[in-house]
Amino acid sequence: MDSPTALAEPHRIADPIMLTDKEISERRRNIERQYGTAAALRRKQAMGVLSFEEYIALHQIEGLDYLEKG
Amino acid sequence: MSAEGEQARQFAQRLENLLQNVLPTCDNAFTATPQGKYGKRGKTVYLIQQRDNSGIPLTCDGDEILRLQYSFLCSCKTPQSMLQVDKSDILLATDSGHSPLCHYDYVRSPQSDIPAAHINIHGSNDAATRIMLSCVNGKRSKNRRKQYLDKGLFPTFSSLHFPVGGDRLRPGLEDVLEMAIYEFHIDTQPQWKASLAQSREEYRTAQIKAIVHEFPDLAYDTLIEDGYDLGQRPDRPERSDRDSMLIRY
Repeated sequence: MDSPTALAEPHRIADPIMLTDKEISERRRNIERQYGTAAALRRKQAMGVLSFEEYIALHQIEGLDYLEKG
Repeated sequence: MSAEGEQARQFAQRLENLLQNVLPTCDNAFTATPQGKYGKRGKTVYLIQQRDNSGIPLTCDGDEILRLQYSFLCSCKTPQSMLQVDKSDILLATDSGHSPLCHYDYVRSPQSDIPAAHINIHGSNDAATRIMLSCVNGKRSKNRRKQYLDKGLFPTFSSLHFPVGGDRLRPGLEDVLEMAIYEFHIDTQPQWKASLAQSREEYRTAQIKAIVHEFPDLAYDTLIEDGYDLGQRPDRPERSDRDSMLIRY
């Protein structure tokens, strides 16, 4: 296959930021403060009334849960 | 930077390269710096997602019509392991209240009987809801009825999991972007088609190699059936009648 022409110069993604359990907990608290707990967000999701921002918040919490479990 | 960290960085960079070459120019990166954590017994885990928490705006003639969100939860079991995706989701949302439109999810090890790779579609379908509640013997249907009776949780069409290709043949970000281009005519870079094709070829090549790693017996049987000399690297058959399966939408 021919190479794409005129490729844009991509932004260079930086090296990963490695978080501690304390940092993960703090990030989770910040999200929950604004949007509620994961359990509350999942209840709204089950009722089909989750907004996009709340969906993102739930996914962020789930992402932090994943990191925390290691 | 560790080898595992570099794998995570390159994974995020590949997403960034794709988006930069398909979507209109953005001053900032679309993809956030990966976040990671050191786990037990040499395992490392990473979260790779878009930089803006509110998603990436997708425009049509300059007007925002959709938002794109993606996240990939990845891990390296040991410092020598290949990075693997444990969970991913790619979501499109409409601009009106940013209601989710659909999301493509992947779960390497589902905790329930949902397909590993699936799509959830946010919409309403009364007939589907009726049969979701009425099916008598299924465990899932009984749970739905129980939740409805006990908690008032009405089963929604978006809770249906439509299977899409399993672990290795699931859609990628390239397919979601191309769908948004064809179905919603989002604004793009001039080189979008070639960039999508290149990225899709890389993704599918990696998946095919992973399948062969896991099923060398099938690869061997196929090559023998096709009459190849296993002592030599075979040439790829030319297809002049259509695009390669590696790039085809």
